[in-house]
Amino acid sequence: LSGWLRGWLTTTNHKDIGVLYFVGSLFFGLIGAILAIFMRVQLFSPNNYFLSGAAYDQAMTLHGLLMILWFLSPLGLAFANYFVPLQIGAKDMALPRLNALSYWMYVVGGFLAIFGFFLPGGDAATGWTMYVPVSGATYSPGPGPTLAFAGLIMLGVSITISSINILLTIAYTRAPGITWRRVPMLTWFIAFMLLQALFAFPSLLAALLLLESDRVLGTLFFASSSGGYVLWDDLFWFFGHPEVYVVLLPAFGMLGEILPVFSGRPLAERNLILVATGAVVVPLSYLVWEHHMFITGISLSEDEAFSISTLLISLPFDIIILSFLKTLTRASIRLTAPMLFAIGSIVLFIIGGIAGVFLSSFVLDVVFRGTYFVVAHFHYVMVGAAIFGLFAGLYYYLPKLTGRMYNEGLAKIHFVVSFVGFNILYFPMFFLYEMPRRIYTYQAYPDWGLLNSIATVGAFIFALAQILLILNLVNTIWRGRISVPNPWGATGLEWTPSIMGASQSYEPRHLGESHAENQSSRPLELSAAVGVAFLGVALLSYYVWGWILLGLGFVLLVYVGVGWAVDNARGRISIPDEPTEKWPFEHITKVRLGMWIFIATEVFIFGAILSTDIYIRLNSASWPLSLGIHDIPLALWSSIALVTSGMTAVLALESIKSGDRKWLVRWLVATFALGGAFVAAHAYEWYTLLLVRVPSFSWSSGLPGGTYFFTVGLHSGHVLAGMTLICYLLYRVKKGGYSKDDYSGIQNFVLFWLFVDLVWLFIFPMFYLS
Amino acid sequence: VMIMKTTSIVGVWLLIVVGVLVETFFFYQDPGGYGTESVIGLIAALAAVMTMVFSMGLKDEDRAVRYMLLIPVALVAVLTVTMLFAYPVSF
Repeated sequence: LSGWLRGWLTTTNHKDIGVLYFVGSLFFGLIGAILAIFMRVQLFSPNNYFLSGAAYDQAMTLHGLLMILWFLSPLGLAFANYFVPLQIGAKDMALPRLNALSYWMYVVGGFLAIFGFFLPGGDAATGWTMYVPVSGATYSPGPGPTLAFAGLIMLGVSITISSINILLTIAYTRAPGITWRRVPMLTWFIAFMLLQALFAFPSLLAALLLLESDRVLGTLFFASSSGGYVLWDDLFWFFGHPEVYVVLLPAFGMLGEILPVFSGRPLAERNLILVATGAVVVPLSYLVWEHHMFITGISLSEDEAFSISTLLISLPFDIIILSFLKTLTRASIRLTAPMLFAIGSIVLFIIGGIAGVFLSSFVLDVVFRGTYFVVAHFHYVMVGAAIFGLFAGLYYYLPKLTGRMYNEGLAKIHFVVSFVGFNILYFPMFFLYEMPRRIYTYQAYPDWGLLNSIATVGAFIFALAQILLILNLVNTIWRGRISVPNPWGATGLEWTPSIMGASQSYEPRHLGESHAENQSSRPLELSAAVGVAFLGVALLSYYVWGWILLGLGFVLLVYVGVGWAVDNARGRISIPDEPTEKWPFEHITKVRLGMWIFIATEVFIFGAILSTDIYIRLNSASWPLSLGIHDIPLALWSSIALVTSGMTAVLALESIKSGDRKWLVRWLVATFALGGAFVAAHAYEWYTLLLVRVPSFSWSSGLPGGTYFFTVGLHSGHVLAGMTLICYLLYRVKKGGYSKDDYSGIQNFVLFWLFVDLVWLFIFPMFYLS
Repeated sequence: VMIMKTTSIVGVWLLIVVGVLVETFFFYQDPGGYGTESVIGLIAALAAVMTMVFSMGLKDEDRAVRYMLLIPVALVAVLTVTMLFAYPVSF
């Protein structure tokens, strides 16, 4: 590989990763936009058959998934990666190699989702909400949907890792003097966004794991009346609604940076905005999800509760918007392209927000939910407000990103054409409140044809405008005039002349950065290995070489895992710790805090899965007693073995704390042996259960078997992961690693291992003692 | 100090093991009984809290970390309760 390409593929530098996120999100956004154009051509006139029903459904599904999850969310992450460390004076992300892993997981996941188009039967045709039973194997057969959902799992993992990493960066690596009061608005809003992603994406992950289990293993979580569509709806929308703010908040953070600069006034009510967002929007975003389920027949009391919470969440947004408008009053406004896009974002959010208030009423929602009124509403919020805000940020930071000035005239034309095109595209949809969405063609009802034709014209205008953006970007990079370091006269730390952008032509990349040489191919390799394994999983029910791909992916995973461990042991990737602002985390190490945040996400994933088990069990008319199925004495002894392994793990930690490496090894080996005994006991129990004692009790035989095998299997996977970590720790010890003063690796392993113990304390009684 | 630490580690382990044994004992006394399952659930929750607080060392962490761990627990509780009460007629 050429040095240039190798540099981009192996970089762990936050600026490079930020640029890669820009490229990746714009690429996936382009594909999503092309699919949208296909849809709009299809809907241009009544009784049109430009696309078949199946093709339209696939285009609609991938349009939604790509735009929301591979374009809008990662575009916010692009800004986060590039500018958060600059704004808080950090050298890089807290965990640079994991940052690269997040990116490559995101990219490989996106390609998996798109690759489904080329498989027999095509891609997922379920809508981005993947409602069951449509997304189950019965109604969406074929490897394409399985692969697309596997791609989504990779994306969920990617964003969860990113959330942990960036939150850790903000909490732990602020330069001296950058106290919380001085953290800039963009960084604050990125933090708010990630606080939502942190627990929203685990819910999606739990739902997707269960769905893939249904599709590949034949479990019945969503295919039965005891689980079914309401279970999926709850798990999906618990993620889905906070995702709206994951998309929106980076744009608002950007407005918080841009409005003061171009209005010549400080941001009005800055503290009020932060309190409204952090103390109201973030927690309340997790308490409104069932307003997406008003028409599923949930109880009236829940209708009322979620209607009220949805109305409440509009209040902090009123505060934010009024504060933005207050900033603009009596100001000396400079109508540059970033400012125009910022104002456009506010206008479009107000329109979309008002439409949202209608939908918070469960009475009106019954009328509007399944219609184009909702399509208009969420596009005004998620596309209008978010995209215009992020485009404002793109123009605002382009001089920093490239070291060159964009063409201001072309950018203003881009804004005007985008704004006009957007409104021609989406405003008519408010009047299509009687037309069902998710239909690929329609009869010639009065006005439907005309309004759809207008919308399609708007779509072409809006798409044309984005060509102007691409032209401007290319022109800026290749021929733009060299920008002064701070063209806007902004006061943020990121505009300090000594802090250079990644690609500035007058500055070698990463000059003077202490970790410039930190490159690793492992993140890309690991993501590719997972991608190959998932491709195998999707194909194995249909082609024998699916098993070969799965095996190959597993071998690659082992190879990369070993390589990663060796790199760690050799200290290949390291950023020296320096004095930073850490409040309120002064007494904890960076990696330990990261581990606690990771465990918090794991708590949610296991919590959601155990909730699912409880829900299904209580919703079932009958449930077999464990006495007649499980070998309870064996399960009891294996439970005691696992609990005991927790004690030996803690003793291993205490040994190294007192500098006793010999006993560290002994206790680690004991932990490994006890963990191995636990897994072996389960393997034996599964063998006898499936082949000898109760052959009728399998994962696909019904919900009791499905919930048991899935939950216990997922937990055993965690035990095996922990045992792999023990091997790594022993390897490090053999190489001379760990001492009385350096035991963070052991400490973090013990946290993970004890968490796995803790989860078993619930699983054991749930499945064996009931 | 080392002896005290080891004693407390072994003590917590012993309590959890006893808890698991008591759960199993109760189960065999009244398999599937509603009251029994409630008690077993309570013991499991107490054992989990002990693991988190003592073995995982949450008691020694900053207050911010302690509160952070309550967030996913609270969210799971909200999700579970909401799911269960969405269709009260079915139970």
